[in-house]
Amino acid sequence: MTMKYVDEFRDPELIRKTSEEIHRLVDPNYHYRFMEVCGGHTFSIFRFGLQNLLPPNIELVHGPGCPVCVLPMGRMDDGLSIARQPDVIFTAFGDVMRVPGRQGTPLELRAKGADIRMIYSPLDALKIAIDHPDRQVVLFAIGFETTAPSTALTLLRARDLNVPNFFVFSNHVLILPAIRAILDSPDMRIDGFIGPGHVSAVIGARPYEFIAKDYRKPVVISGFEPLDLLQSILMLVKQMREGRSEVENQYSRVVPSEGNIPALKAMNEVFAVRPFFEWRGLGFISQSALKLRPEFAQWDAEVRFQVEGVRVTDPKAAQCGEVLKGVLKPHQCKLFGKECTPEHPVGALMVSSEGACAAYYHHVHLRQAVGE
Amino acid sequence: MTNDGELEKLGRNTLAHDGCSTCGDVAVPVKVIEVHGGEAVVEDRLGIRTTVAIDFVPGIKAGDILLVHMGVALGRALEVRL
Repeated sequence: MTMKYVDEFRDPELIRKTSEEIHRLVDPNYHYRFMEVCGGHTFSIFRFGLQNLLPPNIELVHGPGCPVCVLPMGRMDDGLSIARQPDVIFTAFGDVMRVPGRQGTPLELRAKGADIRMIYSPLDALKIAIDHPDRQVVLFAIGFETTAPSTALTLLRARDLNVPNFFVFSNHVLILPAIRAILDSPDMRIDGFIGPGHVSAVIGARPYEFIAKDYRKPVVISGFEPLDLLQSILMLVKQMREGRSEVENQYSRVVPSEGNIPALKAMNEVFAVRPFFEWRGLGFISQSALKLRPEFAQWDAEVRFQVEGVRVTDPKAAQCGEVLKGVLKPHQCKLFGKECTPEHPVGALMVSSEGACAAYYHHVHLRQAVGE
Repeated sequence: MTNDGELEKLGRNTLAHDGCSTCGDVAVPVKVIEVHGGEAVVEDRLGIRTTVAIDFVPGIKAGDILLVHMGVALGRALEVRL
């Protein structure tokens, strides 16, 4: 089937047919648990109410694919300790500005006088450094394989232009080690994965093969429209029904199986894999994050500023970890919608629009509250 | 304006509303207007234009459709097939 317009991905008739086929093919005596890895998928699922189109025995488990949500509070504190230094201009993306550290958010620190600037592209931070040669400009870099190439490109340009006052504080993480950690977790039973769309445009489809081969779980890389997600769920159900565990690509209009080779090459030139890195809710995961290679040490904020390496436990009452692992649904957390709201987030899952708690709050909780 | 449906088949995000910036798993579809060295002027489905780095999509030309995130083109649209 060939589709040209996004309306077709929202065509009620096609959606109804796909939903019916899922209902027809599921084993009514089995409880399916599919994890959508990506926060963008979580957002779409809530926004379009897709759970309502699925049989009750298909449970969608929200995965760890929201970078600010999995960032431990200690890394925010480390970053903000750099931001407090007098000659520093600290740059961060919009979503990071509202993430709380122990002593407040970047926005709050800015209100107290720190020079903290919101940027859209890592290249903007490099431009600020070039425009302010007397200041030290730090980029709070964060994200999965979708954002790491942009940081890598910025570092390559900093090297080529010989910019001495630009530094990167890398919090880049890798999606596959997190999926492996979830598969190895004894309290997690996941039957299949809805694979991230644009992460896969960078890394391709092949890196997911271990999930299918070693763990015997089906993976379907999915787009973000309602029909994309329903088709991906249908493909997972079909694989299970036929006893297959394969990596399938529902999002072939964007994702090439080999990924984006120039982007992977740039990442490899700039970054090395850290031996381990702490993830909120998942603990320390080996080989799961990126640091700058020694060749880029002069642009590495962790070398230049000697960050403390703070470890902070989450507020006790907040159950971000359980929600991140899919053990609890957002509304089952004791703070949800009470102490923790998008306006006053206690945990990072409530900060980002694609955090499971914020998505649930906006699209389920508020509708229920007004009686829809 | 580029709103001929070509971009929408890749999603409705625009340069002004691109979802979560750090996640980036929801990139913005844009059409290439002009190419200048390592950069291209691109336009989203609402006609908003910006300049993006094209280091990761070599050989692109005016009219191509790209997915951009954080000022960098991450990929190009492939054949539409479901």
